[in-house]
Amino acid sequence: MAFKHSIISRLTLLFFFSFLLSGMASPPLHVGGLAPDFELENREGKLFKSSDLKNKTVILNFWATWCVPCIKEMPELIKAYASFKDNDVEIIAINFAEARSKVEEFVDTHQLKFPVLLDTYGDVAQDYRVRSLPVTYFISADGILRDSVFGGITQELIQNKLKQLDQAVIK
Amino acid sequence: MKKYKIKTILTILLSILFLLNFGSSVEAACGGANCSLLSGSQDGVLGKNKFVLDVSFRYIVSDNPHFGSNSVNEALVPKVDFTARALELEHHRELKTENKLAQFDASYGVTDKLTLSMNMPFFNDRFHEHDDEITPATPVGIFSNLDGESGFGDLTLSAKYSLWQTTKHQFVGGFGVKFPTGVYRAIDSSGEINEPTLMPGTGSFDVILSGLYNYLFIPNKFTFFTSVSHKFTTRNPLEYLFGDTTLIDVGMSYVVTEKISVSGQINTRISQRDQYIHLDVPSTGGEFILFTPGARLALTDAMSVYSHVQIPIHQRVNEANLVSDYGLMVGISYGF
Repeated sequence: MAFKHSIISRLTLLFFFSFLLSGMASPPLHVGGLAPDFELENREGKLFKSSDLKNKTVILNFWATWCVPCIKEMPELIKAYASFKDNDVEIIAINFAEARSKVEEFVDTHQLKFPVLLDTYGDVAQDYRVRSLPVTYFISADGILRDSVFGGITQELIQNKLKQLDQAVIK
Repeated sequence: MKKYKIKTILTILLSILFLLNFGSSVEAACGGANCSLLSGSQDGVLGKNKFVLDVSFRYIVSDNPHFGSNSVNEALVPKVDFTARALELEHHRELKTENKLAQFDASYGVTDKLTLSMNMPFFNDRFHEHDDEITPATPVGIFSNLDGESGFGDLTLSAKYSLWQTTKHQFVGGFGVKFPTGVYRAIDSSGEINEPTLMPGTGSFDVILSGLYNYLFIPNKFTFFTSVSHKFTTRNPLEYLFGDTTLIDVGMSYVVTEKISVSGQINTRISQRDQYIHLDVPSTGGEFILFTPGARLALTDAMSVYSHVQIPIHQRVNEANLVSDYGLMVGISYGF
């Protein structure tokens, strides 16, 4: 049997195209559509479900310890969390694919009070089409993705986005 | 003299790498407005304004005579007689070819999607042993090891473009041109143009098309990759045409610790038969499947050293030729 038709050649092509197709099969993500559901462990190892956040406005932030702009924006998120936490606004910080110990050290050092989840396999980041960090998504209480900010965020920007989000929901 | 020159070049290149490293910031993380999740691994594209410099050394000894895929006692190969414009079949007995290649690679991320690369084989040395002048009257022939060649090889410039990328998937297309910068008409000990396969260069402009797919099982930790490339060769001024070559690689890499990562891959190379004045050249081309385990050690955030061993799983040559028992590759890489 000719080599070109060998099992290895076929397996290679099969791998190549199956992985391509598996990536293409992810559901679309767009402003105005439903935000993808997720279930992730927090740093204590407890399962956190996005469905538990129903009826709350959610600020979903993807970050990593090696990402300098992520580190820079953390104080802004901390300030925002302190001012909005009693208004049915939840800030969720999803760490992108890092070891639990590294995340714990970072959380302790920066005194993060909001929930920090571990996206160890990057699957939630994949669902949210994350290509760079940091990125922050704004999800209204009805579970609709309303807005996104790529790059560092400030408390003022969060405030403005939440106002816009309220107006969008009222409409 | 030649060895001294190579040492000097290597020393200069390594010194530049180390100076660049010590002069750089300890902070290897991104410092821009945002951080791309592009891994830049395995020939993928680099992020915007990222540079990677790499110096590698490869060593392959071929001294195992094969006929097809079977081990045999001797490999009689033809001579390409460029003066008489003819092929002399079963001209000499190949004994050993020792190939040493030192290469400098530089890549630059023009945008987050486009990376330009240069591959410069600055030292390509082929030590060659064979029995010459084999005739029915003198079947043993005359031993010679004078016909090896060495020098600057063929330069390749290429562009890679990220055609499709998500958080965990990346598909990169590539286009490259190999330029005939290496010597391809060196003279052998008998005063004739040497065997084309011993030359540092091929003398031809070749075009390379490639496709690469990365899948991050665990981002920054466990990656699957597969790539296919095809080199479309052209005839050189001596009317010698090296056969087209297809490469298929499938592998995985795993980050064991912050400093150490390991990889394993299967490399397949399919080379078409060479041609001389439209005649097929016997003992050229074949199919090779190699298992290549490797390891990379990060010396600093920006600099790493790596090593690969190539272990043949299947080797089939057209007619008779030498094949290798193993290949070695070591390198040092610096990114900033």
